[in-house]
Amino acid sequence: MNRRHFLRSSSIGLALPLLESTGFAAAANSPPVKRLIAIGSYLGFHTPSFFPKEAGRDYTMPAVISPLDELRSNLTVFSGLDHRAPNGHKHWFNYLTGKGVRSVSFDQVIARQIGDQTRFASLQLTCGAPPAQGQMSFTREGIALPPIGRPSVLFGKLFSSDSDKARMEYLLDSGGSVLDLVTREAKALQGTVNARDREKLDEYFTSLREVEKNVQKQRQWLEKPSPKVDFQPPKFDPLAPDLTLECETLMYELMALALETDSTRVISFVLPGSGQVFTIDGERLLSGYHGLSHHGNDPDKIADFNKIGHEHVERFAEFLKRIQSSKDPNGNAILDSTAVLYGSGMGNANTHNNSNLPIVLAGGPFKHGAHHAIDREDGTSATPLLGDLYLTIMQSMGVEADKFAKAKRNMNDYLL
Amino acid sequence: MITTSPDQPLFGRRSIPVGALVGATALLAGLTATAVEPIPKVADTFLVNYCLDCHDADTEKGDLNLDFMEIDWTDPHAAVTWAKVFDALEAGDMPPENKEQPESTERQAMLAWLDESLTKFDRPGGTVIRRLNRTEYESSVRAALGIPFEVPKGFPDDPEFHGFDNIGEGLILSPPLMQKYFELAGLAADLILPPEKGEVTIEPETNEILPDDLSMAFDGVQLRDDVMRLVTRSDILIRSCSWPTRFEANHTGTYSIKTRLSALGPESDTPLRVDLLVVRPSMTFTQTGPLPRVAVFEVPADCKVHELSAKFDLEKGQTVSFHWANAALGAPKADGVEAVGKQNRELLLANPKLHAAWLAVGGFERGQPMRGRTPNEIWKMVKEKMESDELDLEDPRLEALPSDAALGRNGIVGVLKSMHMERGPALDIHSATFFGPTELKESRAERDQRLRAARFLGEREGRNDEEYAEAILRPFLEKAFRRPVSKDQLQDYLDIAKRHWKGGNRFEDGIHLAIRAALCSTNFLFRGQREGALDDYDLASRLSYFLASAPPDSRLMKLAGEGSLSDPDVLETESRRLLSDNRSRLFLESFLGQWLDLDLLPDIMPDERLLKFLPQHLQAITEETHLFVSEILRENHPIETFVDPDFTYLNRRNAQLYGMKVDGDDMQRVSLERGHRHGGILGQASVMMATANGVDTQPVLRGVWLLENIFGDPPPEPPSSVPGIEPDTTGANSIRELLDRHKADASCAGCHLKIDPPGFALENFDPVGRWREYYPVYEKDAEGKVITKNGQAVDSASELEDGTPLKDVTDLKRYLVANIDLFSDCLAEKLLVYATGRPLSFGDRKEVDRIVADVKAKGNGFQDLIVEVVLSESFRTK
Repeated sequence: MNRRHFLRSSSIGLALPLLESTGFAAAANSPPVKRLIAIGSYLGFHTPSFFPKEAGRDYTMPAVISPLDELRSNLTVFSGLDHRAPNGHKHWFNYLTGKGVRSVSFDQVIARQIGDQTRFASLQLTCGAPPAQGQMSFTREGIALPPIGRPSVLFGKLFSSDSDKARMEYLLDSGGSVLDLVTREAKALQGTVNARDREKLDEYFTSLREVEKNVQKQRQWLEKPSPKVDFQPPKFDPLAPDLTLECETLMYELMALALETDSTRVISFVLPGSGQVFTIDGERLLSGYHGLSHHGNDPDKIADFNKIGHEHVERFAEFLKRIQSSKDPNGNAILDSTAVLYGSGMGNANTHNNSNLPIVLAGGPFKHGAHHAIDREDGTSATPLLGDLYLTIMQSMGVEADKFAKAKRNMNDYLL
Repeated sequence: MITTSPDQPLFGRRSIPVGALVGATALLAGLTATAVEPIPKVADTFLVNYCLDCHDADTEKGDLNLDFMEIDWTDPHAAVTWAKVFDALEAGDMPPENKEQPESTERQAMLAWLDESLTKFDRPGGTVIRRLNRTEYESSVRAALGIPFEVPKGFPDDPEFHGFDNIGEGLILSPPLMQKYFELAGLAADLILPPEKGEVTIEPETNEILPDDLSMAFDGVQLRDDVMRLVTRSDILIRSCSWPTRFEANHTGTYSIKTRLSALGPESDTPLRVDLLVVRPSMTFTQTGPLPRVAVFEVPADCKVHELSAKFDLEKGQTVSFHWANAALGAPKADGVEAVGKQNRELLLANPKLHAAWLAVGGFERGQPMRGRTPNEIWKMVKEKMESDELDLEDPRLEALPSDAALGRNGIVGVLKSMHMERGPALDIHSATFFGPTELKESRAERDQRLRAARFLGEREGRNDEEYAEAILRPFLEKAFRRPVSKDQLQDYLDIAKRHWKGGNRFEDGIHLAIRAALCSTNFLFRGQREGALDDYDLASRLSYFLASAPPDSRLMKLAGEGSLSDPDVLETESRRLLSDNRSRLFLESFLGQWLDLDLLPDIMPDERLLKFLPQHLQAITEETHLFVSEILRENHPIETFVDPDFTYLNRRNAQLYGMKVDGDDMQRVSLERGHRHGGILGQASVMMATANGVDTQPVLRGVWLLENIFGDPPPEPPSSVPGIEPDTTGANSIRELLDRHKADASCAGCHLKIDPPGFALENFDPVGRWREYYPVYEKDAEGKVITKNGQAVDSASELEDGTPLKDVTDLKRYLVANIDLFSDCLAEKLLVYATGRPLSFGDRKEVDRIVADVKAKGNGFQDLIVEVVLSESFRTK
């Protein structure tokens, strides 16, 4: 009977915490990484202008990423990494998940591991309206976490005023009886439905429990005063599409404040891009941002596209310098215990190609200073995937994982 | 779409992930019926002889293992597996050509057994309880509370499953979503019963706006000489207006403005009329008039700076925009091309030098010699000519200007803007200072809330708190839960309100709390909770969410209460009522958006310059498909009309894409010859654009799309080990040469012989749906500007798997009309999946076959098809 036993796996892949431990021996004597920042540019970069020509430590910093030059000993540039995943804008979201299907993103795996130590388990940010298909962070259920795009909303969330708190306290307290009632109703329903419906109801119960936990957590944090910062957001959110770069500057400022006040340790940040026409150094660009990304190899358009890329990187470099100069309570630079991933799920927007992604890793206890040019043609099995880099980052933060999406190894050899 | 992860086998007994195991155990534990059936001898022999070589436990080709002695039909996956076997055998896809083939009698016997077993064990029905999706959630909150309600930006989206976002299994409830439901329940309740407001004192503030804090707009509004300069009066906001990017009213109240304005290079003494229009800083680029006006300024045409002031009320979040209402340039869009042409004529006649220079640079010549240059660059060329000594003011051609319509479209418009921008006439904004609020006003939102609360609460009429609360909550709960509430249920909600009052809260707060609970309840969030045949209330919900994307209206609830909705005649009448109602637009939007992927259109963003595709084109092509399908539905046209109609809807924009001529921006019904390239969903630009990416076209993607959505024969997921073929934009290799590799490789050929031919038939449509005979090649001219040239010829000929030769898309349409059942089947399946929220069982698919046959016998009308779907056993079973 065993020979012909009918077994079948579920058709929905569930991401589960992995049970096997790999250990992270190499990191034993480095300060542990405590934070993760993952930044992704929706329209990506012109990678031939982003990747250094030479591999190794003595590379010349390309113009697009030149603002990173003074930080080169704090970061590593990768070329040739990707997830071997499908193409197109609609697959942009596998940047942090590594899979064509919707599944958990690695920042959320980490948030699960370390999120309960801070007021916010993780934050998802963007500038203005999020691009429709530019989601970056996904829960274990594969649901996209919507990002905050208004600096004032983020500021309010991080450093909320007392009047906001009173209403929140009321809603949290009175919410207890709501939870009781709906739980009772759902339990009654549970007894009347079939097995597959009960599975659906389990989603409801699990979610209710998470909400309840969250209520308790929020309640505790309400008791503690919000951190006070010496920063006033502008009275007006720069939300107009052609002010995105200004919004980006503000968001970096608030991200630095969030880290300095230890409000969260996991942030993902989408740099959006649509048809807006930027003015850079007083000069209006040829075409809209998205139009420039489909440059059709027109050198003028590439030059303008690179100007925007340079603006992004300049802001990123300022952010790195800021968290390099600010210290954690132990007097160490925040950057030294923060892994900062910078890049895009778009390898080449001109052809909507999601391979050979632009990737920079900064900060943390890693061995930095080089450009690693991964040879994608070098057989298939030995070539590291972007997921292998994520595994190294996850393991450095104490996540016991030995595979992620299609990746099954790590990039410790490059970074430790 | 959620599909099987490539890392996990579809079938078989190797490595079962922990999650799946937990799920499967829970599933099996819940089913008490035993339906383990042995595989009979005749089927077993067939499997051993023709299938197990590849599909046994060791080889598992295509991750399919058929190596069993018995089938446990309680396992839902068993039906999926064996239905697949049935399909492959029936279509003759299996065993593959190069393997030993069964005798026809053997095949028939095997099919007969599968048919019998599947019919017996895979009955119609089986929808998992469905969470409301985002649209349904919004409409349900609106209906329950009688408020306008939209979820905020950043609400988690619903995963697509089997092509739709309303499928029970796919509608996962995640913790962040539940958290949102909790928060939104509070916010929705706030819209009726807001928290008590304490006294607030607001200090008025001064906001000084300098020119670089004002918005710019392409060639109509620019920062020049340290002022913000306006030259046009178009009613498209972004082309003519300028507003503060850093000031919006923080409160609803009275504000004042002091602004410094001047005229530049006026051509007459007429003062410049400047309207202040109310806008929101987040408004979109293409917003068009009429906008509320709060003040009018007159700026004397004397080139001096004048300080002007005004006082007006603004709602929170509003700001004001400057609009030069009597600018010479840019007739309002509503006046049409000819009005613009007339204006251009006057301006050219008034300026002979400009006119002559424009002639000299070839501005009126056909073939657009200015193509690829910006208006500013063209203006520089024109200016050089104007200032040169060779300018021929006696050119006889100066006497003959083109028609108004031609002049209205001529590139002179851009040159005039550049010229005015440089030397006037123009309006200059030097600064604007806002002060306020000096007085607070009741905002529209507050007024609406007050009226909504009165309607929702009704009069107390001397009742005590509990009686009054009951009178409020009973009808609310019935609307929210879409069925009558029991006494106990009502009491639960009254109890939490009562306890809340005891805690010292207001009467309204108790109601507020009960509303919050109801909107988080499974009774609100989930539908279809009862097994078997739907009762009248569940039927009302399924019908209404299907055809109106909303909970049942009072008429459906009344019929359900009387128990008459399940009467087929009543059900048919109600279906036709909903379909003739305005609300069916929501059904079409949602269904077409997902079936034809029109939802993707707003995000595709084709390059305006290379593809000459504007937002107005997008609007027209989307509207075309909606109007087209609306008519098929309304008039009950035969299903063949989808493929080969004799009409469509056009305005000048999409007509232009099709190389046809229609005047005006209003969509008009236009007759087409049958067989027209652009007729029907296989020729409309919306579908062609949705199946491309805004840059280039890929026959494989369109082929897969056709198989899934038109032929109803979706190919399996591509193997994860094989990279896709990268599009080659240099034009060195034709797409045909690249894809011929599919034929050469046996492992590709299996699917691609089906996928590629119909995909190639659509190659004549470019990424925005224009017809093309050649692929474009973008090259540079001598000045480095991009020009488009004809590259390789498009080769759209191919041969379908059954040997039918296709010259191009017209042959594909002919084929589909001749085999219309293929398409009707696919359409009926899509409708049924969308309506019932489940992938179809074998029994459901037999119902589809019956529906399609019945509808065909009655004339194949599309409205009849929908009605038959509603009346089917499949629709009426959970």
